Order: sequence, then C-alpha cells, then structure tokens
Amino acid sequence: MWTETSAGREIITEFSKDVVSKVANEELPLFDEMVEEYYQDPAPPDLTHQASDDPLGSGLESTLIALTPAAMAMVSAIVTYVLTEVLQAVQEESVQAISKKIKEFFNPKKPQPITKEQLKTIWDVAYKKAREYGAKRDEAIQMADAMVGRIAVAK
Amino acid sequence: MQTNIPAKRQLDPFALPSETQVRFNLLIVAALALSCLFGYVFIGLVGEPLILSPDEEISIAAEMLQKLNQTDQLEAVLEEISVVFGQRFLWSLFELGGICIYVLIVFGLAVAIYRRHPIRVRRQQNLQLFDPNKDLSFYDAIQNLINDTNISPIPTIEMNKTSKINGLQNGLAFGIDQHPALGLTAGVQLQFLKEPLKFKGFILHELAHIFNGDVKRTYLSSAIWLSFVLLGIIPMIIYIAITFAQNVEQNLKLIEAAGVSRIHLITPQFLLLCFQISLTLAIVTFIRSSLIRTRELYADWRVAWWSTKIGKTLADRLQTILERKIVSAKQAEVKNQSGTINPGKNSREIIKLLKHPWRYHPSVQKRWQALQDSTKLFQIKGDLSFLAGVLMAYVLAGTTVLGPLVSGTVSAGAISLIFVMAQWVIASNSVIVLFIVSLASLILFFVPLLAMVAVLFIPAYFIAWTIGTQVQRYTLETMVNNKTKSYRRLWQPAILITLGVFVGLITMPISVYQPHLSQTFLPFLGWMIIFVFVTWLWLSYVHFFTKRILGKHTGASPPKGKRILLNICATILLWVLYAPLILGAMTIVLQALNPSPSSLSPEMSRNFILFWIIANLVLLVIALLVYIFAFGFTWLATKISQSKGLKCPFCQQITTQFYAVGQVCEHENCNRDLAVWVYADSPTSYPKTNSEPENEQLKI
Repeated sequence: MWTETSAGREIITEFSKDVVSKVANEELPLFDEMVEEYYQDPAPPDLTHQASDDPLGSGLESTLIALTPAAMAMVSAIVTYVLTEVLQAVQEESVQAISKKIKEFFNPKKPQPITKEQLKTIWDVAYKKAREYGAKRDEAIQMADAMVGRIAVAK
Repeated sequence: MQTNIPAKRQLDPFALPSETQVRFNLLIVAALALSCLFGYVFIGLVGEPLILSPDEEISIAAEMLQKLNQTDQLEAVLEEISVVFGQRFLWSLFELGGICIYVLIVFGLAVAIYRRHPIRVRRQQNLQLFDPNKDLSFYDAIQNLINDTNISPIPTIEMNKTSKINGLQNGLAFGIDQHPALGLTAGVQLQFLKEPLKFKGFILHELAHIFNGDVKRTYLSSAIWLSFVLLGIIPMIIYIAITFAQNVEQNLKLIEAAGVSRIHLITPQFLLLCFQISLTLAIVTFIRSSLIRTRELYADWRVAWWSTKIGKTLADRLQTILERKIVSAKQAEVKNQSGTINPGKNSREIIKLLKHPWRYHPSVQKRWQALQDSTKLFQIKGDLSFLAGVLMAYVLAGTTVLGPLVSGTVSAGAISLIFVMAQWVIASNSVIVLFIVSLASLILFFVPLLAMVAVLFIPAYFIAWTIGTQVQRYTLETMVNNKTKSYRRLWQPAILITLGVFVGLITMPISVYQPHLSQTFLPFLGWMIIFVFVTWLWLSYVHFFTKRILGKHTGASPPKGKRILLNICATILLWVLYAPLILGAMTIVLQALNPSPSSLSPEMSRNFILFWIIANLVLLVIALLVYIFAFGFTWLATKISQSKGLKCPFCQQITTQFYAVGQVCEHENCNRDLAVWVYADSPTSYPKTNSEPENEQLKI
C-alpha cells in the first residue's frame, strides 16, 4: 500500500507535523521520536488505563495523550480514504504518481473537484480517528479542521 | 495564662519524626521479636529443652545443698558444682548463640536483598542511564529541581528504555546510600512539554522520597518482609506440617494398638497453628504496606514544604494532579452506577475492600485532604495503636521465652564462676581473697537481673518511641488548635493498644500464653481492664509532659534533645508500669498450667499461687506509687529547669506565657510565633541556630 512506502510515510509525516504545529506546538521537540513509536506500534493507546498499586510506583501515574500519534493516524486514515474513494487511485500506479496526486489534493492553492458531502466525510473520518487515538473533542475538531483546511474546493 | 493564638496555620509534619519512621521501627521490632521466637523453636529442634521445669530446678538445687552439707570433701563438691553449672552455661550459651545467629541470618539476608535492589529494579523496569543529549532541556529541568532541593548526593536520571513517550508517566526513586537514582518512563518527557508545572510537582514528589529517606525504609522493609517469609514463615509451616504428619502417624499406631484415637485433639491444634502463622504473616505484611502507604503523604508534604519557601505554586500543582484524579475517579464511579447492572461488580467491591488494608498507596482523596490540612498527620492512628499492642505481645512472648534463657545463661555462668572462686578461697586461705571473691559474687548476683533488664529495656524503648511520638504529635496539634478534653481522647488508643496485646498473645504461634486463654478468659479480662487503665496513665504522662517540655520549646529548630530525654523517661516508666502486668499475665498462665512441683505439697502449691497473686498486686501498687513519684519528679524537674520563663526568639524578651506552641509573643512590638518550629509556613527571618534546616532558600 502506498501509505506504507517510504514516500507515503514521508508525506504523512509532513502533513502530521503541520497539524501538530497548529494544534499541539509544544510536542514538536519530541515529534520525530513519537512518529517512530507510532510506526513501531500504530495501535490506539489504552485509554482505560487505571493506576496500579505497584509498591515501587509513585501512585501518581497517569496517561497523558500525545496528539502526534493521533495526527499520524488521522492523516493516514484521511489519505487512505482520499486515495480509494476520491482519487480512486489504482494499485498499478507508481508510488511517485500517487505521491504527486496526494500533494496536489492537499495543496490549498489547487482547487479540487470534490463535493461538500465528500469533504464532510473526510472531516468525519479525521475527527473519529483523532478521538479514537485519545484526542479530546476540541482537539479533534481542531485537528480535523487543520487537515481539511488544506483542501481547496473547486467552485 | 496569656493566650495569644494566631489564625489557623499548617503544622509542619517534619517537626517530629515522621509516621513513616515510626512504622519502620515497628516493623524492625516485630521482625526482631518474631525472629527470636522462631529461632528459639528451630534451635529447640537441634538440642535439649532450653529451660528446666521448676521441678528440675528445685531438685538440682536440693541435691547440691545436700552434698554441700553432708560431705567433708568441700573442694571436690565445689568443683563438681562449678562443672555442672559451667556445662549448663556453655549449653545455654550455645542455644542462645544459635538464636542470635539465626536472627543475624534473617537480618543479614534482608540486608543482602536490600543491597541488590538497584540491580533488580533496573532489570524489572528496563532502566538505562538517560543520555542528556537526547533531550537537553528535559534533563536540565530535572537537574535544576535537584539543585533547588539541595539533595545530596545527586541522584542519577534513568529511563525505561521500553516505555513510550505516548504512554504512562510514572517514576520511582531507588538506590543505596550514596547512589540514589530516579527511574522515569518516557512519558515524563511528554509531561515536561505539555504540563510543565505538573511535571515539576511529579519530579519533586520523587525527589521528596529521596530527601525523606524513604528509599532505604521502603526497600529495607520489603527485604525484611521477604527474609522473614523465606527463613521464618516457610520453615515454620514445614515444621508444623511435619509435626502434624508425625502425630497422625503415631495416632494411627495408637488406633492399631489400643483402638484409641487422638485425631480430634491433633487436628484443631494443627489448624490453629496454621491460622496463627497466617495471621502473623498478615500483620507483618500490613505493617509493611502501611509504611509504604504513609510515606506518600509525607512525600506530598515535602513538596509542599519546599513550595512554601518560594510560594504556593508547586503545592497547588500537586494538589491539581490529585484533584483531577479524584474528579476522574468520581466520573468513572457515576458512569458505572448509571450503566447496566454488573454481576461482577459486588465481588470486585468485596475484593477491593479486602485488599484495602494492604494497598501500597493511600487513596487520592486522602492524599488531597492531608495536603490541605496537615493536622491529619498529627492524629494518633487507630491501626498504629493496635499494631503497637500486637508488637508488645510479640515482645512479651519473646521475653517470656528468651528472658529466662538469657538470665539462665548468665546466672549459670555467674554461679559457675562463683564456685570456682570459692575453691580459690579455700585453697588460698586468705582473708583478702575471701573479701574479693565476696565482692565479685555480690556483683555477679545482680548480673542476671541486669541481663533481664537489658532484654526488656531495648524493645520497651522502641515501643515507647513509637506510641510516644504519636502522642507527642497529637499533643502539639491539640495545643495549636486549642482543643479540650485531650486526656479523655487518650482512652481510645489505650483500648486499642490493649486489644492489640490481646490479639497478639492469642495469635502468636508457639506462645506460652495462647493455649490457656480459653481456660483463663475471665482472669485475662480483668487483666485487660487493668492494662487499659495503666496504658492510659502512661499515655497521659507522655501527653502532660509533652505539653510542658516540647510545648515550651521556642525557636526555629525542633527540640531533638528534649524529645530524646522525654522518650527515655517514658521508656523507664513504661517498663516499671508494665513489669507487674507481665508478671500478672504469667501468673494467669501458671494457674492454667497448675504447676504443682511434685516436691511441694498441695498446700504449699496453693500458697505458691497465692504468693504470686499477692506479689503481683503488691508490684502493681508499687508501680502506681512509682508512677506518682516519677510524675512528681518529672514535674519538679521541668519546673526548675524552666523557672526563667520563655524567651521570644525574635525580640529576645522574656514572656509570661505558659506555653510556646500555638502562641505569639505577647509584646506589642513583636507578636511573632514563639514556636516557629511547629509551623510549615514559617518565615525564615529570625536568628538562625546551628541546627537550621538546610533547604530554606529555594529558587525555581
């Protein structure tokens, strides 16, 4: 799949960094490490974690959800949706060709032939994925807006 | 009496030794007492019975006296007697030495386990030294906090190499002596970026554990517990199981030979011993878990204590962490309640309740409440009073066994020496030699008594220190908050201590007391009522003189020397008050045993018991008289030493105020706290003393 190629990962990482810089700027110093963690284990974090009663622990343990993995997952999901449902890219196309299509689609200076319903679906996909990865409601809205904001709709 | 009482303030939990230290001492003494008892049982498997019965003692003494009276070969008899007692001395020394070696092995193993804990922790937590170049700002932030708290030596920073940045934020403090370390998960790096103030609160909490000395107490207590289980509990279970199996085998032979079965006697005894072992283990485990739980409250307060020096920001942030946890816990509770009926919920609640006394962290709510109001750390805790009582029972049982052994060993050696010296007198035929030997004999006569006193005094000091410290904290709180009926409230710990003693006696495995309580319940009930009263007297003594000694201490540094003196006086008084009670308990047990030495007539054996009862009552009266004397003497001594009145540490003028704690100086141009040392939020603008806390000036 294109999203698993190095070119695909590079673009997803670039888009994610853009989202993170708008929504969670403070995470940028650890962005690269968290991206690496995400690719090692892309599963959503365990949001039901409860503090254990470990005698060696502090009793103050908590799970702070980072938005970087949420952004990575969100962007991956959107890109996959766009490729399959909007651009209807075929597997036979080269990686470079697909990369070019994706970059053009998410270039705010290049209007795209996309309907409002499709845009809303993209936003919903983004929002749900962000929430699945632990982002709060406001944060998920901001992230979805940041990503969908990259798409220019043709009049 | 002038009373200038300032507005309600936060008491300094570190003004007196912390409850963590108290519980740690409790664990040490419990482990020591139980190890001595278990060692006595195990050594008994190797050798002859350690203590002769009264029959045997009397017959040996009578035989010796007969020989001395009847023979004209005095020297030969003296030599024979000295050899007999010499052999007894060596054998008792061997057994006593065996017990000491066993105790040393238990504690030696504990120390070895403790010293290896950094290796274990690093392996379990996958820790490796954190490379500052990976995240320099994160590393520097931690170093700055370490510098600000003036912790020495400086802990190393280690990171869990398998943890994720987008994962748990957790940490622990560990390390031995001069090599403390902070182990963190990678999630703490994220917390540093996203919630910097909470990050500071979290790191300071871990540093507080190092500063408070919790690392050594935590890991050493865990090591002692493990060593006690491996070398005490497990061998004891094996021993009981083997003994039971042997008894069952003998019972089968008895059935075969005579058609008689004793299984109805053997089985309940076996089950009782199993229950007692389990309960003993539960009590020791509870002491350990309560220690680990208590340290968290003091670590939170250390952060607050540091924070009060530079402003309340960090204490507030630690409170915020705790507040958020309470809110999320409450939300989860509401969600569970509003959902469908969960069939497993009740059993989970029951398991949670059962695990409650053994959990390692206090509830978030409790931590938050303690942070908001430090007087919570100045109450006499019910469980501590109860455990102190259980500990007293352990020490009592141990003393009843080991005391005569120590005393018997020393007296056997002393008697042997006396008879050797007597031979020297006969051989030398010198008056000077006779004088020297007489003097030495007189001194040696008191040596066994001194040995018994030493055996009783050391655990008594720890017990007095444990409960005494709690009473001191309670007293300071009542003084600061002007509480009345403070003596009446001491009945509760007195009752709980007594209950603890009772539970300890009946649950102590292989104890001389417990098999007989079912037969001697009523006498023991009377004994317990007296015990409660005597304990209340002792607690009142500590309370009264804490007010008059510690309560009159002015200045910034806590009254360390005065506290030690008060503890020593309290220890001596504890021993004096409880000695007749110990004898009383032994009398009750002797009654149940019905000791009629075969060499005594029934009339003489009845008088024997009556003698003990009267002797105990007389001793109790003497103890009460000594109490009145000690009370009066201490009162007089404090009156004389404090005749000059209180001196304000700020304006240096003498005040007419009776107490210092909870009072401000009566002089109009001053109005400052007389006892600054009691408060957590005291300013530092006063004349510094040599024992000034080092971490006063913080800058973050």
